[in-house]
Amino acid sequence: MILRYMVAGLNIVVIASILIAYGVVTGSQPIIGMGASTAVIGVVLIFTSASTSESLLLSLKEYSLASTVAITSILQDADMLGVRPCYMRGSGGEEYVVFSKSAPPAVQKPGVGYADTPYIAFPISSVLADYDKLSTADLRSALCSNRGLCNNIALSEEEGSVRVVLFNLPPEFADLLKYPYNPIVGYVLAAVGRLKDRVVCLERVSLAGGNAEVFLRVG
Amino acid sequence: MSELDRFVRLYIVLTLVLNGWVLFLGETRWDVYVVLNILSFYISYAMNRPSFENRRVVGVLHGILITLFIVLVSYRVYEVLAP
Repeated sequence: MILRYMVAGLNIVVIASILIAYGVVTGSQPIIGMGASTAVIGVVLIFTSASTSESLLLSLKEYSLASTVAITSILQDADMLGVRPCYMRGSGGEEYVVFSKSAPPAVQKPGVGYADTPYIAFPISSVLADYDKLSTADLRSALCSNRGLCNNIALSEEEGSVRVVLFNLPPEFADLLKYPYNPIVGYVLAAVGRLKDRVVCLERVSLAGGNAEVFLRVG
Repeated sequence: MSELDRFVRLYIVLTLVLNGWVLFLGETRWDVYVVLNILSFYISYAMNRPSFENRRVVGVLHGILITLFIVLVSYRVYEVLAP
């Protein structure tokens, strides 16, 4: 809840009630109209304050930045900063985002591992866990409505490549896109990987006018 | 400024301008002010598309505003058709 909107809304409703009462007593329709209109503003502010939580977003931003920087350090130490992450399933069906310099290996366990080639695997089975099977129609509800990553989403496919556009990315998270692995990439990889049920690799990410474009290659 | 703040500011400014304008024109029907307010809400909402965490609460708000809008407009249409 955003307290300032709640307080403002309640105050406006009280003032509007006085206006309406005055309008009824004096029989003035315009005053009743202005009072009723003001009351609607108050009600909208009260509902708005009850349906959002500003502080949670700021905490999430700080936590996301801290974890993203930590992951970037691990990738730097492993000389994998330029490696593109891929979504894939492990031998037990678990889902991972894997960094590896050569062809995606058969991932046995999360963390730093070796399967013909060194890899770093981050488990993402818990990401979007409320969606067992994703459909294209679910993407908007999963990434925009429920996770608040965007206001709308567009998905286009062409010869094994997928382009996902996240419209109006929250400015709090736009800065994270400069890191090789960040929550936004993680969510998009998890969503498209689960949608295709195949190996999906990130090609590039670009940010223009508050919209993020994520280009993926389906293996 | 977040999208939510932009939405609230635009909504309030738009409502004040439209209500002030019809008041200046001498409008005496109280429901016109409320209908213009609801229109301001949806114009601001469409222009900013703020993200809400609790979709159910926002759904209730949309339900209230749409119902109020339909009732007020229907009453005026009824008045014209069956005076």
